[in-house]
Amino acid sequence: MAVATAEKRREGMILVKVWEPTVRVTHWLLFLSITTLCITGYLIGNPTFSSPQEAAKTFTFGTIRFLHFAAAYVLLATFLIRLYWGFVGNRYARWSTLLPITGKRWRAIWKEVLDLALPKGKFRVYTGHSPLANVFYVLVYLAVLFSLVSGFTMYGAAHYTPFWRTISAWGLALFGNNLNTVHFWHHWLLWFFILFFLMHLYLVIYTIVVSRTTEIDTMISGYKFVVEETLSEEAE
Amino acid sequence: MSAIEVLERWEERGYLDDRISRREFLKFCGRMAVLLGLSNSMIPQIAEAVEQTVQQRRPSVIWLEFQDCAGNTESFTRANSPSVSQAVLESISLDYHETLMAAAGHQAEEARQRALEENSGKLIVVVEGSIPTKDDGVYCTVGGKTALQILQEVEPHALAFVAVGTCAAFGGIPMARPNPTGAVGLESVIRTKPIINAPGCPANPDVMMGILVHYLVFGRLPELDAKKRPLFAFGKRIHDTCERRPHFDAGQFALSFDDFGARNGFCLYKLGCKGPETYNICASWRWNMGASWPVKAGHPCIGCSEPAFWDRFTPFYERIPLAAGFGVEARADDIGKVAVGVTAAGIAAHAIYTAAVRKAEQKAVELDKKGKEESNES
Ligand code: HEM
Ligand code: HEM
Ligand code: SF4
Repeated sequence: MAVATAEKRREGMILVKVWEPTVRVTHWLLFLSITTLCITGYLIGNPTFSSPQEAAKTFTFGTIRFLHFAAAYVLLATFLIRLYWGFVGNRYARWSTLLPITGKRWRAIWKEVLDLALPKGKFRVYTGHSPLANVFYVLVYLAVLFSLVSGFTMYGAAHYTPFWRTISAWGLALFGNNLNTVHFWHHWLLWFFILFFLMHLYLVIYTIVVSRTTEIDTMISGYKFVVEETLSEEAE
Repeated sequence: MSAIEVLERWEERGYLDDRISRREFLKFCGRMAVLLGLSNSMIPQIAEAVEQTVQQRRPSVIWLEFQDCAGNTESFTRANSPSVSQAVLESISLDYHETLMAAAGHQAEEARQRALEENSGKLIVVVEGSIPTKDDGVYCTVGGKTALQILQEVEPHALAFVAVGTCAAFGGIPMARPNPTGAVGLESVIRTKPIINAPGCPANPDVMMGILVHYLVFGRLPELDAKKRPLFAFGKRIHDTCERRPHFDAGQFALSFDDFGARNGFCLYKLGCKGPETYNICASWRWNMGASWPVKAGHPCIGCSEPAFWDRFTPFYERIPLAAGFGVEARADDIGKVAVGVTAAGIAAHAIYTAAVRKAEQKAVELDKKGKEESNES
């Protein structure tokens, strides 16, 4: 599936390196861990009955929870690496690029929303993420942060060492000192990520179809086809 | 000194009569040692401390009731090994307790005043019930004084405060939305003296006794957690000491009351059990002389010892609260499913719409080309 590097040009577009290995690896780790967390999280919230045999012989729910926590540690590591990379990576990976902090960026976002709503003419391919995508990825990383805080608060509550006691006491203070409130808000993450996943997948496929650039391959190989004028525009 | 020696002295002095047998006394001291996580070798010290209490009629305790149901008083008077507890209760000089004291009216208020003056600085103040703060606290007055005024009067004389029951500790049911009386827990009112919380609806009588015995033995209050609860009783979640836990880990749940799972003692998680969110001693220590506790009896834990349980742990038979909005309440998962449906429909609509627009554009381009070709030909 990866882009044949022999092919350097395609219909007026030029192949450029966009995503560094760190961004690509963290993306797919994000995908794997969050998918695992969503499936196991749904089952934790709505467990199915295992079997009426001796409890000592079964550990179904325990295993589901174990997978949830294992994936949670993977997510923690992924998040920390990506957080760090947002300060040292290339310009397409930096927080300073992703955050909608200037009026110019908000105008670009609005324009993109309009382009999506009233598709016509040429679709613009951005070298990094599109302005609208940036906003959503920032939201995703915020949601990941929230899942870590609320998740480890619940996790810490069940581990009676001074370290985990401290962690969960801090976390609990954010949720009105009520563990059930933590469960309640943590539960919404499931639906946030399912909704994000649907739209993310659609927009990725949409971009491939309407722009004839590469997208999924880009997240694997790091290379992307970009219109030459766009490159020079962005460089300004 | 051994516990036996203490016993012998008690017998000599006539403390041990038919009401308190040797066996019962030793059992009480042993239970307290277990409860407080002390070793067997501490039993004589416990016996000694209890003895001194009985002899010296110390410490002085006053018990204040505010917005409460007297449930903690009920609970306390039904402590395990009731006769020993009763003896302790009678011996600590319980100088003021509206429900238990014989005196009434002005006499009762005088008793409180005397206790304050005679024991200033050494007084243990037990508070039961929440404290109303709205409209100057007029919603709870005793002898013409509001709960707030009484507490202000008592605070300078107190050594420490013990909040028994969820109402006194965290506001409890009176504080539940919409909290018409502006009820708060003790912590929001008492600023200058140590507080120890023994929440529960009601608080476990042994926990109250444990706090007292700990103080008698060591001369200080037990170790507390972040919510000022004694760690010996609130150190663990119910869920982690629950006898149904193996069924939880196995994935065996009761799905409705009285079904196969319920009859077989399976985990009550799906029936809304709040054991995973609740810190208390019920599962390991139980109630009524260790006879039973709610989950053992087949009912999910409702989290009665947690702050705001009436608002945040309800509905009791749902695992997590319902989401409220637009005047309706719904489960998070039901809202989520609808949102996914709407999003999927939106995506499909957008895809079809985009395809149609692009096709039309393409057609226009083709027509344009054709038109040009035709005009070229002619
Ligand atoms: C739960 C699953 C997923 C999550 C949470 C997720 C999250 C993200 C995030 C946060 C980014 C931005 C990368 C960064 O700057 O760090 C991103 C980009 C991207 N993801 Fe995903 N992703 C998921 C699944 C997928 C899947 C299944 C695919 C492929 C089919 C995919 C394809 C892409 C592509 C192509 C980009 C780059 C798009 C762009 O430049 O705007 N993702 N994703
Ligand atoms: C994408 C991220 C995540 C999603 C979608 C997710 C989803 C869920 C869901 C739906 C539940 C059930 C909540 C309930 O109804 O009570 C849950 C429980 C839980 N999650 Fe997560 N979770 C995520 C990340 C994490 C992380 C990072 C941790 C960190 C350790 C974590 C720890 C927990 C714990 C401790 C529970 C409670 C388990 C129990 O009570 O046995 N989760 N999760
Ligand atoms: S019955 Fe309640 S406390 Fe016991 S294991 Fe099940 S969820 Fe936990």
